[in-house]
Amino acid sequence: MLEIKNLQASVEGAEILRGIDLTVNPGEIHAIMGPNGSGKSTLAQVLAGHEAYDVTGGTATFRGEDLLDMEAEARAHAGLFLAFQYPVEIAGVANSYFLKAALNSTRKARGEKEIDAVEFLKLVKEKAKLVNIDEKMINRSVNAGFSGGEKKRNEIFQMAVLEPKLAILDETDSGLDIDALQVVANGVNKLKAEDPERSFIVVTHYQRLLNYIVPDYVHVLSGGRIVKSGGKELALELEDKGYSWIEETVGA
Amino acid sequence: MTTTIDSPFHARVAGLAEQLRGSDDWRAALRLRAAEAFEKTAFPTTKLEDWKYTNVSSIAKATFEADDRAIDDEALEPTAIPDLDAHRIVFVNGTYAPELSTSVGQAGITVASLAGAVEADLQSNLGTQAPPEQTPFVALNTALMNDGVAVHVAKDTKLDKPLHVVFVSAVGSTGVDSHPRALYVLDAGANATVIEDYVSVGGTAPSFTNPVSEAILADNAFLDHYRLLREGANVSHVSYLQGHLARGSNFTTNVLCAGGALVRNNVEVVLDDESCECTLNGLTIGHGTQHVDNQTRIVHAKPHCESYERYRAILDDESEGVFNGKIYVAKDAQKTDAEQANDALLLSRKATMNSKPELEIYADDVKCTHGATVGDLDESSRFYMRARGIDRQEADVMLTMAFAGEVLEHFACEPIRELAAAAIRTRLSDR
Ligand SMILES: Nc1ncnc2c1ncn2[C@@H]1O[C@H](COP(=O)(O)OP(=O)(O)OP(=O)(O)O)[C@@H](O)[C@H]1O
Ligand SMILES: [Mg+2]
Repeated sequence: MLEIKNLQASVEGAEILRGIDLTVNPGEIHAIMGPNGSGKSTLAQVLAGHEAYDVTGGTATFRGEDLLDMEAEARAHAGLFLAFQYPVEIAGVANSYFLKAALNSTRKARGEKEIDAVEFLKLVKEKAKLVNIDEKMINRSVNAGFSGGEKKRNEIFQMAVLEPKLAILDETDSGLDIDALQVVANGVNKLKAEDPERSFIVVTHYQRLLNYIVPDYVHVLSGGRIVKSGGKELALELEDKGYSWIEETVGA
Repeated sequence: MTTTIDSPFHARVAGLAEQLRGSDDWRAALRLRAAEAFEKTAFPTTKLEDWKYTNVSSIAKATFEADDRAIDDEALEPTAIPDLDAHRIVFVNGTYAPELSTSVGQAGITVASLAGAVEADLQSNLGTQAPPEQTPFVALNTALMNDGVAVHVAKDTKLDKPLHVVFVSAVGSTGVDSHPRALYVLDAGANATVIEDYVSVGGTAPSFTNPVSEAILADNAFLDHYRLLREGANVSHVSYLQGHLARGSNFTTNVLCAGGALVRNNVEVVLDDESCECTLNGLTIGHGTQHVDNQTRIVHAKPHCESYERYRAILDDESEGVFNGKIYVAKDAQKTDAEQANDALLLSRKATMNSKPELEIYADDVKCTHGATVGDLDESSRFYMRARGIDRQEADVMLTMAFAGEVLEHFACEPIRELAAAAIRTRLSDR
């Protein structure tokens, strides 16, 4: 699904990612944890194609294609989805219009026929139910005036509609109460059940999410490198001992 | 540097004065007054505060020729507004073209060509709101006025469909000038929608349109007015719109600037009795080296009136936008509520916007707000959209449309909203 080799990236001349190696196979769930500022969001944004970041070395292959060579929109068309840590508010653009445009440009790029208004409405209703969001939210401007929790749920809702092959969730669990957290986890698990080949990279600070979304692997990112990888028990250990424990043991 | 501009218009107007002295046309006296007023003034230079950013010397110095060519329906077809169901009155280079126009047969409604037979009520109103002494452009318009539209809506009558008044600049190998005039008189409780539509067909010789419109609203009258500027990149346009509002009346003017070379719109509305409401909406879509200047003045003369003003500009390439919003609140005009907003979206690094609110308030119990912003397309919004699969071009269209939407949603006439949206789409796809 995704193969990252020695990925290095900088922003405004500052080196942030210092050689990331990560392979995600179809159907796998990877959790990425790590202290603030370690480069988790940078990795996510670089993979999604944000132009503010300069890739200074390494490769990333997504479903057989050179990911780093693709425009941001082409990455989405190929099946990559990023749930933003900080979803952007876009006043004056209705959520539904935005999603329909996104869905249709993806369909067009894949040579599929565009979805019509009736089908779209049906799909939206179905997915809204899946992630438990109020249908009224769909007609509001994209994220404008949404609460933190609403924004995160909207990300999951968009993911459900766009049906990606690989979804990267950047701290989608932060700031959520336990109910909202379950909604997010449910969304992920249902999508996974729909298509067992779907893969997820879940960036989180908290092991509690991983009770609901059970990862196959847990990685610790620190100082722009993956300094430790393990199974789901690593998350528990981190919760217990903190990141300093890793930083000491790897002697970074 | 001289402070006055020598203009071929002076000789033209002087010659005209002779002619007018012997004329028995009902407008001759007003036109003569205008010719004399024009002789006493000069074209404004950028030394004048109100003309600081807009240099009209290219207009003043140019030689234009009156042109009485005729055009047919086919030539006009490309300028049609999709889905607009309206009465259509067409003027070609300022002259009424009955063969291109429809007649309005509704009781209580008069739509007349100023060069034809005009009822006394309308005659007596011409020039009362925009007197020729006001500015050189109004003087010039009035002196050279050969035709125009006069509309009278009788008491409690509602015009059944919008009146679409099309002013066509039909340009040949030499530049043409036209000085269209519009007069709207609405009796008490009357209601109308009027669309002044400025388009051009034919050649690309530098041309000039100099329209003056007067709107007079009696008690509780309602007028929704549009000015669509869709002329070619060779046409300069200086317009005056003067509105007068009686008790409880409601006037909206919406200006869409999507064409022209040098554009200067002057709007003044006087809220002259209690409980009036006035709305000024403006959307500019500029590109190339277009210069679009919107000057507005709202006069709150009496208490308990409201005014809303929102102008937005989308400026590409090296286009320049200017906005000046004057709000005058007289000592008497307590409980005035005036809102003004001016926002510009710069699509190019070389585009510029100059914005200036001017509030002059003599009453002490009023609510006046104003705000101005200038910005470019938001990079993080664009990335968010692209990350969802929307390509850059479409993302820019959607963001620009959202920006324009804040004004367009206040344009009541849907086909015109669509027209503006299409203009934005065309603009962004040409980049
Ligand atoms: N656009 C940017 N401009 C300048 N510095 C940046 C930018 N983006 C990230 N950085 C810097 O890069 C480093 C890594 O940031 P990043 O957001 O990737 O961390 P993170 O692991 O996601 O942290 P958190 O857990 O707080 O979300 C930080 O030092 C941050 O200040
Ligand atoms: Mg982060």
